[in-house]
Amino acid sequence: MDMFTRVEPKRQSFEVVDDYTSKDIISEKKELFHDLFSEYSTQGFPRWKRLELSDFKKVPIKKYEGNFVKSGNVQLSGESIEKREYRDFLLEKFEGVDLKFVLMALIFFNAGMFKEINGNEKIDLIYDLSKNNVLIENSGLILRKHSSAFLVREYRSGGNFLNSASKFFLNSGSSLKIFNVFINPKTDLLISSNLYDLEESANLEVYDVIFGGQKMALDHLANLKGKSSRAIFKTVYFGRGRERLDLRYEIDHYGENTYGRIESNGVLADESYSVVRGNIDIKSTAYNADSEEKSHVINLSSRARADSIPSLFVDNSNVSARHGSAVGNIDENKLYYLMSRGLDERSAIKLIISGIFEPVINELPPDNADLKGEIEDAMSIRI
Amino acid sequence: MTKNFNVILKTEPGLSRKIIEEISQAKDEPSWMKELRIKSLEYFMNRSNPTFGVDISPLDLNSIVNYVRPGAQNERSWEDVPEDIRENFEKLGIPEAERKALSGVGAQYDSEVVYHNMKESLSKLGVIFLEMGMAVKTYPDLVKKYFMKLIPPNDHKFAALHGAVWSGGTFIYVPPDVNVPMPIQSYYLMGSPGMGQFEHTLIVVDKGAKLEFIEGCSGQNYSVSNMHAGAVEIYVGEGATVKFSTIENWAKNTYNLNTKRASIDKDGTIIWISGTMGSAKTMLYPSSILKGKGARTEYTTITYAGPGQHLDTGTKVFHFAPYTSSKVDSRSISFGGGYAFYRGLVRVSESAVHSKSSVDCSALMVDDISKSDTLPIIEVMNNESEIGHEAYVGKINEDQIYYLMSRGLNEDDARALIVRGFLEPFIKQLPFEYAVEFNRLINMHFNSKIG
Repeated sequence: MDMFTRVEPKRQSFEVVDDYTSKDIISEKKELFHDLFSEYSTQGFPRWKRLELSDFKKVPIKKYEGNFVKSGNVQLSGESIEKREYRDFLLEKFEGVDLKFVLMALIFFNAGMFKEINGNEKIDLIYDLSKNNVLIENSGLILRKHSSAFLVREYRSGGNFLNSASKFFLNSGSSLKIFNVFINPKTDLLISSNLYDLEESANLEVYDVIFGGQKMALDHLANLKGKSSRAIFKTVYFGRGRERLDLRYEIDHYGENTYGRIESNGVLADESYSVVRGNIDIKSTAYNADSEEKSHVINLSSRARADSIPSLFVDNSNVSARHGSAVGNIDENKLYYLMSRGLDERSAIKLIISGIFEPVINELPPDNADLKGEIEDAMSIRI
Repeated sequence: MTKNFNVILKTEPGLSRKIIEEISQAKDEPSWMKELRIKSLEYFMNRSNPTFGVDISPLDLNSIVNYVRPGAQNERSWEDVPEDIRENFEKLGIPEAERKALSGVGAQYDSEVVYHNMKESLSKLGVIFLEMGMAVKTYPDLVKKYFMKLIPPNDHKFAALHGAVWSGGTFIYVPPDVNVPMPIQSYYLMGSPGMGQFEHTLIVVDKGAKLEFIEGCSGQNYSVSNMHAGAVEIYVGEGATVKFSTIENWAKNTYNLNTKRASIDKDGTIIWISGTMGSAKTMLYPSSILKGKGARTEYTTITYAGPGQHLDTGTKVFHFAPYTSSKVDSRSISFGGGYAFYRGLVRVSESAVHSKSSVDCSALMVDDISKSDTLPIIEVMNNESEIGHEAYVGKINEDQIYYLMSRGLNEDDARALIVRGFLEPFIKQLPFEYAVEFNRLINMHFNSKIG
């Protein structure tokens, strides 16, 4: 029953004189992108208040240099898109962070992988931005019934611009675990849009570890369509300098007995600024849904800023939905205790912050020990 | 039903500079007020509708009659109020309540206050309690200092509309260190079809003083939509305390687009008790501006959305000074297809170090056709504050119903009992008559006969 209209702010946009044109398309089959491109060229760029995006400077897109697939049997998106059966999936648009950026990724990508998974697959991708000034990713996975996959994506080093759009389709009984690590302190703009559709009893776990990007906008949307499907998002981030992050997680419950969890833990230093949006939307069909979001921020600096925007939209009375958020400084008692045990202040703070990152880092399997080390290093540098 | 009554002055539907001038002239206002109205009208014409909240597109602002003065002057004695109007208030129990417990009652029927009285003892303490229009004439300097300074006319479209056409309302001034011993109450009633009510409440409580104010609102159903765009401005002085309670039960055809704001000086306290249960659509977010060190705000609010109602309510707290604190307990119930939306904001500025805020919002959904959403925004700009927020949306627990039924209650009674329990923190803050009335309302909605 939808009797009432909820009035929402309209999307604000701006135009740029020098936008990407069809000449910037990396794929040789430019005709495949005709419709998407005509839509792209009529869309303005989104004007963001909190992230302060009001200008976009086009940086030339080049072919990806090097090999980003470290392990796993996957195809490159550029090849998959030429196959009719995968094309529609890879070109399917979605809202993501913003339609403009999603369309950009779908059309102008210079990286990304695709795979239809049957059994059990481990995939490791390392995107190195030191050699690739602009990284545009269009990736997708389709998990067949009862299959499973573990995807580890690492986005590393400088570069000017990262824009990623990924889609994941989880057929019934399949399970997908994703570990995304962003260590891009110098990158001007990082955009990542992710869409997940889950059928009956499918299982999704996504872990994000974020260190920088001067401006970062991240969006994950999980549609729990099948009954008893489950989605879990866990994020840790550490902002410093003048970094700004705008992270959005949404779980839409359609099926009965669906389960959703959103949890974010952040640390802010210097003049960094984080916005965490957690949306739980429980549709009238989602009988007995169970959903919860939690966000926690530790503010280390008097000039850092933390915004928390959790929302619950509930259409079904037979649910349990809750959210909690807290912003505070480092727990004085914990600090005092550790220092009384002989640690200096910096080591004590480091230990407390490690405690926040640990549960997420521990989700990495032993064969990603290198990555674990990199995350720990990135964290130490920031303290 | 209300009897028809004679309306002595009714402006033509719609808004123009001419009408605004007419209103001002009829009220015999000082020129600064006339200018404020004209400036507000300009803002109103230029501002667009809010980009959030309820859908107000069905509301035809041009056809809302903005100013209706019933056939009554501002009377001093209850007996002098015309009988048809008095009957309406009698039904609401106002004179009786006044006699028993209240320091003063201002009752507003449509746009002008028809009845106003205050216990003599309060006058002796220096407390001013006047109909707003009268206050503009009697204490022009005092009013001018505060009037629409907290809610500037250009704040939003409906604040601008209010500034242009405001009429009636209440002015209260409490001098330093005066403790007003009993609550002061104002009652607003909308009686004409297709009209707008735009009362202005201005409360100034000086250093160390204390005041409790109760505002009641109701109206009758007509086929034409009515509109309410009131404004409440409260100035809480250093170390002063104000408790502001509202029971809003506008008719189910009313668009309630109301603005309430308080500024709190050093060590001052504002306590908001707010019940929203009437109207077709509501947008209301009482705001507390904590501008003095150690200022405090507390909210206990409930929103009760039944069939055909879309109630978008919330609370806004701005921490601008060190050691400020805020505590919000917001609850909503949606049933019979009603839609309750909680929209909150807590902003802790850089200078508001050592501040504390805790926000709890919970929503109880009684059936599958109702809807309940929450959107609380928290913005923290320093590292020496503690801010927490919790929200819960859920159904009535079947185990509790089962338990109560095993103890001999029927299902309706059990449900009503749980709803009452959920609303307890709010109900116990209400004056006795309102609490009784509120319980009666719950029983009616849940077919219960107990309580």
